[in-house]
Amino acid sequence: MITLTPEQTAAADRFIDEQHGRLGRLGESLFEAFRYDENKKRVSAQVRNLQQIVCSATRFADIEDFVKNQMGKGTASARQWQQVGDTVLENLKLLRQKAAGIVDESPDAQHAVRLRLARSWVRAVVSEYLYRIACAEMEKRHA
Amino acid sequence: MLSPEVLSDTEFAEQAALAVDSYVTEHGCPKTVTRAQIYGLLHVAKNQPTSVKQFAGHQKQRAEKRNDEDQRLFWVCVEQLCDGSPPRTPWSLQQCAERSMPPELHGEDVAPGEKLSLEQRQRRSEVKKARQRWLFAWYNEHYPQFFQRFCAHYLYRLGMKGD
Repeated sequence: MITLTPEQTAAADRFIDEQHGRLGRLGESLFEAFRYDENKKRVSAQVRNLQQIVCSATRFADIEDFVKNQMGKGTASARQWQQVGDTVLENLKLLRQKAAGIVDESPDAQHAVRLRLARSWVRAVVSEYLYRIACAEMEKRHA
Repeated sequence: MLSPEVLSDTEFAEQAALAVDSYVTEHGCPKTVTRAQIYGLLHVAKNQPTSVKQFAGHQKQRAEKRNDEDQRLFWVCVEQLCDGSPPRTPWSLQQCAERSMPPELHGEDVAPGEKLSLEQRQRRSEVKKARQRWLFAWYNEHYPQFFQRFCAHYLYRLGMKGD
């Protein structure tokens, strides 16, 4: 894997920071679509799988394929994914465009930036999703 | 030359989506091109990459016998993505492989009527064999990646159609 320059890393991190509002809304959408296991206090397996694929992917397009495959299955989880999947794909498209803007001369560096953006993106989105779970739990306790 | 990861991430992702969108725009997602068939295509691409075209040809023949034109055209699309040529097929895996191939494996053109020495003929034969070995290795590495993108995008279009 290619090593990014400090400037490229900073640009990627700054972009994710600037997208805070959008990512928060997506995290909320994930909560609305997938909820969580209230009895066992477990996060949705779909959200966990998304996080896992993003953190382990060596190709950005593998993340996109994961979402598309989930949306295309004829299962109950596919209907959940269809609620948020297009928004997730639009987010990923934006990350692709941003990576091309941060690095325009090296396809390998662009690839590395895409993956860095994706990992920062999923951290922000899942953080909001987890926060929504915490809010739901607090509401239940105070009810 | 792009690394396999970058090629898969960029050109393959783009071309796979274009091919699926083009087919779906013209034919929709026919009921007869089922998830099982897509998973079958993906299985062949991952486990027997160099057999994808043969698999597609077989599926095409079965569709012809059933007079299922939409399904036949789907498998024609897959065949063209394997080794189609311009102008009918602006992009295919074979064209991509040829562009990626090291220059020394392209071989030299021989003028009509030109006689080659024994050494030259042997050299051409060696280059041809090296080219075939290179292509075989390239196809084995890249077919699974491309058809992963293709199948994922088709399933996505199928899912959004509501089937």
